[in-house]
Amino acid sequence: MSKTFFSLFRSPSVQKGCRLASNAAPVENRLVHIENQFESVPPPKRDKDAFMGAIAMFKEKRGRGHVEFINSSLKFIKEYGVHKDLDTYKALLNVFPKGKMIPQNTFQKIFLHYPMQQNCCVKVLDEMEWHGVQPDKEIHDIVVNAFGEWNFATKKIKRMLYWMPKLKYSNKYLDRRTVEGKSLSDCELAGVALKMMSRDPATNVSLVKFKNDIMANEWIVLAQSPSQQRLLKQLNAGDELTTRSAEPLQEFVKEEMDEDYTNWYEDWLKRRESSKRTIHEQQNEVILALGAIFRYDNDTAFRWVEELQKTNKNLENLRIRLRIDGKSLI
Amino acid sequence: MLSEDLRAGLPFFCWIWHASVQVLRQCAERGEYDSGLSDFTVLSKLVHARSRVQAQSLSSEAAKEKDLEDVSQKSGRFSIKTLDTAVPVERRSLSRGLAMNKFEKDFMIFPEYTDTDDVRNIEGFVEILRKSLDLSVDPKELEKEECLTTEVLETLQSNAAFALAVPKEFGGCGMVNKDTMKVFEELSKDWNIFANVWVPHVVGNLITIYGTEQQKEEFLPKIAQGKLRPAIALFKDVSASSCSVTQGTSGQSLISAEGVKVMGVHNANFFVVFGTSQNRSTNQEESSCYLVDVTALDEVSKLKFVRDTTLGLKAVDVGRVNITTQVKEGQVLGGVGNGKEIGSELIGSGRMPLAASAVGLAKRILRDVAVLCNKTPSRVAANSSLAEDSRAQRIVTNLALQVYGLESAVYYLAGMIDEGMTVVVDIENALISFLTRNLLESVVSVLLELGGVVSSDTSFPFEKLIRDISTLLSLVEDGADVEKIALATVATWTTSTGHQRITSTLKRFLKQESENEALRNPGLTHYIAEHAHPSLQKACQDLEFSMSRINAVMSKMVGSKGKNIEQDYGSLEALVTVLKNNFVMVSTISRASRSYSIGLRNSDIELAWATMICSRLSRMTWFELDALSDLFGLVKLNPSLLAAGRAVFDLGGYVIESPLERNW
Amino acid sequence: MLIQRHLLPRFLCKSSLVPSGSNITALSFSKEAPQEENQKPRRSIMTNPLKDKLQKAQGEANVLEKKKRSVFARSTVPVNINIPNPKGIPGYDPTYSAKELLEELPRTIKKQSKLVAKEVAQMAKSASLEKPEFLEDIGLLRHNEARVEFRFDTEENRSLWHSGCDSDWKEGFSTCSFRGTDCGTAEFSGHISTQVVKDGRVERAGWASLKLEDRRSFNRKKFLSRWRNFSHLLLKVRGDGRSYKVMLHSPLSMDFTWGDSFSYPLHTHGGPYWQYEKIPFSKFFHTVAGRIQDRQYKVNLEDCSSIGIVLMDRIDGDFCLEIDYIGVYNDTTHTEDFAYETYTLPLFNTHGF
Repeated sequence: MSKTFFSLFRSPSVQKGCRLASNAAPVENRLVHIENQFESVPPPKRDKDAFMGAIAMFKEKRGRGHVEFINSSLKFIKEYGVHKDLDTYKALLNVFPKGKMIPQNTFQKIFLHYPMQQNCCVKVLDEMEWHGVQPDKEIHDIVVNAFGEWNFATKKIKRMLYWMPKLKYSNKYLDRRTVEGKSLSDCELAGVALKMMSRDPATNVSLVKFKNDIMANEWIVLAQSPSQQRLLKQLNAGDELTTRSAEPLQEFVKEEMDEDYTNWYEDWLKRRESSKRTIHEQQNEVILALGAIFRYDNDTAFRWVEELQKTNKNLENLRIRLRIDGKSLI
Repeated sequence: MLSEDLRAGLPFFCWIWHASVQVLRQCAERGEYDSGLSDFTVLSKLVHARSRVQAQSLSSEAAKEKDLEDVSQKSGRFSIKTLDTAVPVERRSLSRGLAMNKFEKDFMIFPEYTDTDDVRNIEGFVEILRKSLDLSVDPKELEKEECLTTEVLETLQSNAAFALAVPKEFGGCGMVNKDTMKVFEELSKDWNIFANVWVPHVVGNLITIYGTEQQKEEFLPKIAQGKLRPAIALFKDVSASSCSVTQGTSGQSLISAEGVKVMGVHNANFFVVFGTSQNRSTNQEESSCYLVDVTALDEVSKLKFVRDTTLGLKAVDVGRVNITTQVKEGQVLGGVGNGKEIGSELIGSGRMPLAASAVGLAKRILRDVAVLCNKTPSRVAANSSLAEDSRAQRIVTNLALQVYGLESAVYYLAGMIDEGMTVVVDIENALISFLTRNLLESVVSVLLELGGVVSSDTSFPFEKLIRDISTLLSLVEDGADVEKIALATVATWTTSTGHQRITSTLKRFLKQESENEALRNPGLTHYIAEHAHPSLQKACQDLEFSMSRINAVMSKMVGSKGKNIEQDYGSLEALVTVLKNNFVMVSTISRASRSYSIGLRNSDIELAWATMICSRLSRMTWFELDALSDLFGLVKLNPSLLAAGRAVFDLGGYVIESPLERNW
Repeated sequence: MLIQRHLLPRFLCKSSLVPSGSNITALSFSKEAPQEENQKPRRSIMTNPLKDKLQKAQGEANVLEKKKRSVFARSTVPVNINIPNPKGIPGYDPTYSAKELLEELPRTIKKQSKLVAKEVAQMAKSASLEKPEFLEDIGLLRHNEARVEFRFDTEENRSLWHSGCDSDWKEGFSTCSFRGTDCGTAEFSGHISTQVVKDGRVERAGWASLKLEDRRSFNRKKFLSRWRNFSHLLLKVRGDGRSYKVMLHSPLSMDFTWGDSFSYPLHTHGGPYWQYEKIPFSKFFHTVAGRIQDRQYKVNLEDCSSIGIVLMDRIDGDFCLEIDYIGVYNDTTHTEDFAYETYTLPLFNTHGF
C-alpha cells in the first residue's frame, strides 16, 4: 500500500468519518461528514490507491450506511481518475453485504426488497455504463451475491452484460483495444487517428521526430498511399487553379432498368478498362495527403509540407496555400 | 454436287454410314420415317452439312459475309467480342449457340486432315523432332547454363521450330494449326524450350496478321531463321511500370518505357512493347503496339534489361526492361491506337500452343507415373504395387480424363480454324486457358500426391518441372477472363434473342412457370444423338439437356437483373463453368464418336472416357444451372461471393478473432 | 492547394488519454474545386429561421419544475407504458393563447393547402393498378440498388429537419446548429458539454439531436413504408470520428407507443473522406425514450414516421457531422432477419412470481 494510503488511514477525522462519532474522545467528539473522507485527501494524492484505501477502510469498519458511502464516493470517482476502471466499480459493489439482501419469499421477490440499496446499486452500474466501462462476469456475480438471481438490480447488470459486449465492437473504424486503458503518447494517438481517417488500405503512416534542444517533443505524422502519390505526380505546375471539375460519382445502381442491350459488351469493356476513380478523388476535392502536427500553426504545417516534398518531388512545382491559423501563407 | 461432297467427306465415310443407319432407326421410332427416303439421301444430307457454310458464302449474302470475314480476320481471331446478328449466331460460334439452345450439326463433326499424306508428313516431322530433342536436351544442363545450349539451338533451328507458322513466302513452314499443336506437344520436353519457341511463334503470328508488307518482309524471315529473338510485354502492370509515347512530327515518336515486364527468348534482341500516347485529335489516351529491334537502335537510344530472379524457367528472359528510343512510323504494328486489340490477340494466340504443350507434358507425366506406380510397393497391402491402390487409380483417373478433355478441345479448335469457315472461336479459346491452368495444377498435385518424396527431391526431374510450371503460370495469368467470356455470351444472347423485359405481372408469372417447366423437364429438340455414334447416345442427351436448361436460366437471369449481371461475379463464374463444360462435352463426343466409328486403336477406352466425362460434366452443369435459376435461394447470395476476399483486403488480413477470445 | 483542419477523431480528446494542453491537429492536404479558392470560408453560415419558430412553439414548458412524488403520478423514468406526452418530456404542456392561434392561422392555411395540392397531384400521377411497391414486394428489388430519400441541397429540403440540444431545454450547456454548406450538403455541428445543470433534477447532460419532421397535410404522419423492401439504411456522411446514433422513430396513436424508436450507432471515421454507412435494418434494436428494451423485435418500417441522428457520446468538445444524403440500400445477400436473440427465458417470468 502506498504512502498516501497510510497517511489517510491515520488521520483521526477520517477514521471516524464513516460513522457519526458519538462516544469517542472529546477531541473527536464531533460530527464528520462521509464526504470528508474523500475531500481530506489533497488533490495531487487522489489516485486509485487512495480511493481503494477508503473503500477498504469502510469495509473494515463494517458499518451501516452503505448507500450513503457509495453515493458520496460516486461523486469523487472522476476526481480520483478511477471512473474508467472496472476494479473501482467492483470494489464499490463489494461494499454491499452478501446474502442479507437476497429475497427469501415471494412477497419480497415481487416487491422491491431493500429498495434504497437496489437503487443505489443501479446508480453505480449506470455510472459505469455512462463511462463506457465494460462489465464482466465477476461484477455480475457480485451483484447476484448481494441481491439474488433475478432482482431489480441484478436485471440491470444482466442487461448490461447482454448489450454492452454486443455493441462493443460495432465501430469498424477503430479497434477500441488500441486506445482503451493505454497511455499513448501524442504522436501515437495521431498515428491511430490517421489510420482511422485514411480509407485507403495501402496508406503508409510514418512518423518524423525532430531533434531539438528546446522543445523535446516535436513531431509530424505523415499518411499517404501510393495512389495519392501517383495523383500528385499527375498534377501540372500551377495546376491548382484549374482543377478538373469532378463529375458526380456513380455510387450505386440506378433504379431504372436499362433495356438497351445493343452495345452492352463494348460499353462494359470500355468501362472496365478505363482507369478507375480512386477513393481519394472525392466529390469536390482530391485528397493528396493526410498528416498530423504537434502544434497548430502555419509554420509547423509548412514543415509537414517540407517532409512531404521529400517523397513527392512534384510538390515543388505547385503553389501551396496554407490556411490554418486564419492567416494564409502562400 | 454430291460427288464433291462425298470427296470432301471421304474419311468419314465409314462412321457416317453407321450414323445414318442410326438416324433411320430413330426416325422410324418417332414415326417420321418416310418410305421414300433412302439410305442414300440421308447420307447426302449428313455429308452436306459440312459444306453448308461454304455453300452459303456463294449465295445472296455472300458479299456481306465476305466483309464480315475481312473484319474479323483483321481484328484478330482471339480477342473476345460480341457478334452481330447478321448471320445466325449458332452457325458462327459454338458456345454462344449452345447457350441459346441453338445447335448446328457442323460442330458435331470432328475436324481433321482431308489428306492422309498431311497426317503422315506431320507425324514424320514430329518423330524427327522428338528424337533429336531426346538426344540434345538435358533439362539440368539448361538450368545450369541459364540459356539454351548451342546443341539445342541447332536442333531447334534444323527442325525449323522457329518457322512453324511463318508463311511459306517469308521462308517459313506455313503450318496449319493442327500441325503446330502437334509440334508444341513435343516441345513440352522442357518448359524452357517451349517458352523459347512459343514467344517467336506468337510474335510471328502477330506480324502476319497485323504487319504491313514491309514489316513482314523485314521481320518474318529473321524470325523463321531464329535470328530475331523476341520478347513480349505479357501483361499490363500499370503501377510498377510506365510506357509513354510522345508523338513527334513526321511520324516519329519517342518511347520511354520504364520497368516494363517482359518475357522472351534468351538474350532477346527484339521487343514488342505497348505504349500509351495522347491522341492529338480526341485528346484521349490510346495504346499502340511498337516493334523495337535492338540491332537497329541508334547511339542515343537506351535499352536495359534486368532479369528477375525466378523459381524456374531459367533459360528464358523474364524480367523488366527500360527503353528510351525514337520510333518511326514503320515500327508501329497495326496502326496507332490498336494496342488493346493487338494485346488481347497476343494473349489469345498464345493459349492454344500452351494448351498443346500442357497436354504433351501431362501425357509424359502419366507415362512416368505409370512406371513409378507400377514399381513402387503399396503402403496398404503387402505384395501389391501402388498402382493397385484405389486412391492412386482415382487420382490418375482424374488427370487422364482432364488430359483427354483438353486434348480433344485443342485439336477440335485447331481443326475448326483450319477449316477456314467463318467460325468465331474467341470464347472457346479463352475457355482453353482455364482448362490448361486446371490441367497444369492437376499435374503438379498428382506429382505431389503420387510421387511423394520423389517429387521434391532435387535430384529428380519433377522438382524442376514444378518450379517451371509455377513460374510459367505466374507469367501467363489473365485473371479477368471470367467476366469477359460470360458477358460476351450474355450480351450476344440478349441481342440475338431480342430480349425484352416483361413488365406485366401476369405475363411475368406465366413466363416464370414455363421457364421452370423447361428447367425441370428439358425435352429433346435437336436430337444431337443422331449426329454421333449410337453408343454415345447418353452423352449426347446430357449435352442437350444442359443446352435447353442454360437457355431458360439465361432468360431468367437477364430478365430479373438486366445489366446488373455484370457486377455479379458468382453468377458469371457459374455461367463460364457451364460454357466450359459444354465445350468439352461437344469436343469429346465428336472425337470419341469419330474414333469409335473408324475403329482407332483403344477407341473403346475413348468411348468409356467420353461417356464418363460427359456424365460428370453434365451433372456439374446441372448443379450450377440449378443454383443460377434458383432466384430466391443461392443466387441471392452470389453477389457476396467476393465479400470475404474484399474484407480481407480492406481490413488488411484475416481479422476474425480467435475462437478462444472472450468478450466479458 | 488547401490545407484544412479537421476535427480529430474524438477519442483523442478523452481527458484521461491526452494531457490537457496538448495540441494535436489533423491536417488534410487536398486539391479543391476552383470556386472555393478565393479565401471565403468553406461553408457559408445560413441561419435557420426554423429555430426561432421551434423556440416559440415550445410555449411555456415547465421544465424547471421540481418533480413531485406521488403514488398515482406517472413516473418520470421512461418506461414503455409510461410516456408523459408525445414529446416524451415530463411536464411538457404547451399553452397558446387564442390570439396566438389566430395570428398563426393564415400561415397554417397556406401551408396546408399547398400540401393538399401537392398530394392530390401526386395521387393523380401515380394512379395505376400496378404499383411499384407491389413489384418490390414480390422480390423484384435488385441487388446493390439504392434509393436516396432525403437530400440536403436546398433550404426547403433542410427545413424538414429540426435540430436541438440540451441547452434548448435548459438542461445543459451544449449547443448545436444545422445549416447548409456550399457543396449542397448540410452540416450538423456544435459543441457538446457534459456539465450538468445544478437544478437538482437533471442528472445527465450533453446531447444534440437532429430529427426529421416531415408531415402530410393536416398534420398526418408520413410513414417510411416504401423502405420496407430494402435491407439497409444508407447514409452518406462525413464525420469527426465520434459515434452518433441513428433512431427510427415509430410513435403511433396509443400512448404506450409514443416513445418507441429503433436505434443503432452510427460510427464515423473522421477526416476528409466521405463514408457510405450502410446499416442493416435487422440490426436496429428497440428502444423507448432511448432505453434499450428487454423484449426486442424488428423495426417495422410501415410504422416509422421519423428518423433522427443523435449525439451523446459523453465527450466534451466540438462536433461536426456533414450529411450528403440519407436513403436506403438493398443487399440481396443480407438474409438476416433480426440480429438479436428473441427466445424466452427458461423461467416463467423475472418478476418473482
